[in-house]
Amino acid sequence: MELRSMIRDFVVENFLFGDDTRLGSDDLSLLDNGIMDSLGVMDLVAFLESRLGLQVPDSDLVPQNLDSVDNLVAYVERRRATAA
Amino acid sequence: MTVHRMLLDAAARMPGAVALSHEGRHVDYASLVDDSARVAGFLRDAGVRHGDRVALLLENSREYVTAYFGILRAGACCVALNHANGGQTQLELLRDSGAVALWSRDRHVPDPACYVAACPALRLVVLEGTAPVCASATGATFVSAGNALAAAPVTDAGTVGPDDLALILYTSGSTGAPRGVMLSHGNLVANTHQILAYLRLRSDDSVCCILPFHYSFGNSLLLTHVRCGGRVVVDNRFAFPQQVLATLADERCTGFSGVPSHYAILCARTDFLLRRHEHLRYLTQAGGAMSPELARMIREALPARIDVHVMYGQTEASARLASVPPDRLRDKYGSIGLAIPGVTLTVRRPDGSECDVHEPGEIVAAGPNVMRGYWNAPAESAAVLGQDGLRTGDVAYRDEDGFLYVVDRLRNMIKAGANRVGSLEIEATLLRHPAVAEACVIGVPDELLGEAIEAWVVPHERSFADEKLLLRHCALSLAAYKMPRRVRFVAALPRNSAGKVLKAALRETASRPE
Repeated sequence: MELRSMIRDFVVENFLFGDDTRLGSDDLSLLDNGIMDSLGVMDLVAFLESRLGLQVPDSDLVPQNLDSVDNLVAYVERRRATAA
Repeated sequence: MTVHRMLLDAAARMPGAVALSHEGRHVDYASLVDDSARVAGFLRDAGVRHGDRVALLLENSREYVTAYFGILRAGACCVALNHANGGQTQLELLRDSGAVALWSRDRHVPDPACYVAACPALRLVVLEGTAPVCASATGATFVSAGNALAAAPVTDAGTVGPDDLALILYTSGSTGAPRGVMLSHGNLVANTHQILAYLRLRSDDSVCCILPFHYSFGNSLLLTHVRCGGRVVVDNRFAFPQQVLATLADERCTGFSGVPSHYAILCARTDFLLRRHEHLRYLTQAGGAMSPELARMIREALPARIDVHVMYGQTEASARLASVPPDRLRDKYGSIGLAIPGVTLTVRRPDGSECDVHEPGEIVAAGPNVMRGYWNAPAESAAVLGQDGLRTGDVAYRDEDGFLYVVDRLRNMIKAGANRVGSLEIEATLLRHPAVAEACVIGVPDELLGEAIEAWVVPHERSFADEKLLLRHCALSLAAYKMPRRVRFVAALPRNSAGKVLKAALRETASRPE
């Protein structure tokens, strides 16, 4: 499955209980729009580590990496490129 | 003394001192006084009068603080709302409070005209951000906050006194519906002084504030620092805790305050315990019982020069009721401490008599910080405000040194993270789903949240419901912090001979490993 779809599916299934009408555009802030909270960030990190095989250091836990679908896709791609 | 007088006093003593820092911008006391006078002038011109309620729906920011003090300086009562609530809840609270005005931000109020149509008393909406464009047919006024701040400043509404209402904070009620806790100027000023008497804050103190100001703990951080001329450093990004630690260090904060789940997350996901925290002088914790293990871990790991204050309180008591003196923490892990100066705490049996040492009973609190009652709810107010003081609903015992230990709760409340959540509201939401025959909601122990919300459901025969379907149903009307973390399906709920659900039995089953 394409990376963007995987991330969107995770957000919709886990934070919106399958209701994808609330997600809107991929640059929407998950935090500011009440889609994800501090525990959600931890679930998200667990997803990135277990499903996408990434190691997410604590220093990467910043909104620029994790606060929207766009930011997440860019972050994962950047990390994969560095690892390659 | 009034709440806004504390701001004016600080500005008179130190006009150029920084009162608030947020995302690298700093606001001094003189500017807060000037801006809040304009807010007050605008509200008075718009017809807001002494005793009117004005709702404030903003995240922590300069705008919140300016509007908050402006509302008070206009002689009105501030109804501070939680922006995490869904639109439906927001409307119910606006209607319940009878607010004549709403001060908010565009993204929190996407359709202002709909709010006005649903709330008969509401006749003024002021929004930060994009200027609201609304049909004038509603009869209400819609203004951008920028225009409002262009108003001529008011000199203070001289009639405001300690007995006037300053703040209504909504909290989960024992019957399920949220209840507005009415706090007077006198309540809030008294609690501010009581807290300062044991925290001993100074004008060179600055607290890193991650707690929302619409929450009583967050409100008390704001007021105590304003009172002593200190600084509040706002950081609304606790979801990224490493960033909060950067703020703590970069802004040279001397204090940090959080609820147990904040500390649990800091310990689990950051290097909080390994840092030297060069400028930090104290930590405070309230908003639910911190596990003795977590308190010990923090105390042992951090330098001894940093005081750790474990505290206890309720919104109904303005904020604070008890605290463990930092030098006694090591002997008293698990305790909520002793009454703070000016507060009396007794432990009482159901007949009102006082319990013996080690005998559990209900904590009853008395002091000038205890609320005036619940807004529009005289029966619920009478049920908790007796001649001995505020019945807290928390069951505790005293040890031989007088330290209190909370062991249970009398009412159907769950303490999930920072939030007190009424189980009845969630049960009522679940029961509205056609597939649900019976529902029971309990708090189960959770490493991070203290308690996590768990729903137990008996489905109707021949109906289909799975966990996701019910969670989606709940998400339509419940705020995120009220959402069950898990739904369990059972054939029947445990009940006593009178048919009452045995929540304690359910909690025991829930905590057993599967």
